[in-house]
Amino acid sequence: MRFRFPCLLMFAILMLSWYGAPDSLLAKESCRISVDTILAARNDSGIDPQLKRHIGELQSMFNYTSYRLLSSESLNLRVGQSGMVSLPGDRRLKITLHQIHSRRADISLQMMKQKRTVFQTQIQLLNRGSLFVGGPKYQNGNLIFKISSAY
Amino acid sequence: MTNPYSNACDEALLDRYLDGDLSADEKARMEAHLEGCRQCRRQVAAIAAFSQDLRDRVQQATDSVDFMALEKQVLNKALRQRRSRGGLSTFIGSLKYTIPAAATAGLLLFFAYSNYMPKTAPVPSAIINSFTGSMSSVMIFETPETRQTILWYNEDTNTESEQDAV
Repeated sequence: MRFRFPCLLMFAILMLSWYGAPDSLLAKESCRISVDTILAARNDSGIDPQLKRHIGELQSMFNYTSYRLLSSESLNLRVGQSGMVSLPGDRRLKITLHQIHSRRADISLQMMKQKRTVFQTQIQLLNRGSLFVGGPKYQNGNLIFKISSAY
Repeated sequence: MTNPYSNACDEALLDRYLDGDLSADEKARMEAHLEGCRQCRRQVAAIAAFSQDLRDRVQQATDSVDFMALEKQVLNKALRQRRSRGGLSTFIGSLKYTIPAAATAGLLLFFAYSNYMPKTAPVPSAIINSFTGSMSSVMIFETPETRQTILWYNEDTNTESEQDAV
């Protein structure tokens, strides 16, 4: 008991100082970006169990009857680093991490199909948040790319 | 008069006589001596008078004191001291457990609140700062509740697929 209270107090001070420390002191240098490729279709039925948690709200906005997870890929990017993710239909997504703020990461995305750039965009992605990029036709439905960040 | 059987005056023996410390034999002989010694009789009388006077004065002094009240006062004072000492130690003893418990509870509440309490105003999951591309159409919207940002585009020139989807 003689040492327990001072230890607990020290722990509390450390935790509070960590929580309240300026972002500059706790700046993250790397970010884990994952890309889930989902095939949304109308002919089939059923939702991939792995997707149930993530697309609940999307179901109310789209009229697809099935959501199937085709692939999952993750990249660990440092600030200034780029990574490439292969997507169905001879598509590739180039992801570049520019900066990490306290709550959001500055990321640029470049979607390519064969050798053509379809679009490029600059986004600020919430930590543990997702951007759903969808639309391209594939097989009997449309592809949705769930791009998430965590740091 | 170290020897009680001699007839000479002995002050030490006289003091023992006055204190009642002599044996019966010594006492009888001392009394026999006193009958014949005027000086010792005077000394005995003076000491006896002094003792009586001292006893009277002590009696008078003690008579003026209310011992019951004094006892009560002393007891009350002792109890007060004990109570205050006990209270302080109890308080300190309780702090040993209360402070760590309160600190732990505070930390748990702090982290539970900041991590698990629902945010009152969710922010968009992604903010799109710029977008350029060669496509027939693009839409940017978000889900109403959790504000998940959705970027929906149509690669083809034909916009049927976009209209079908949303």
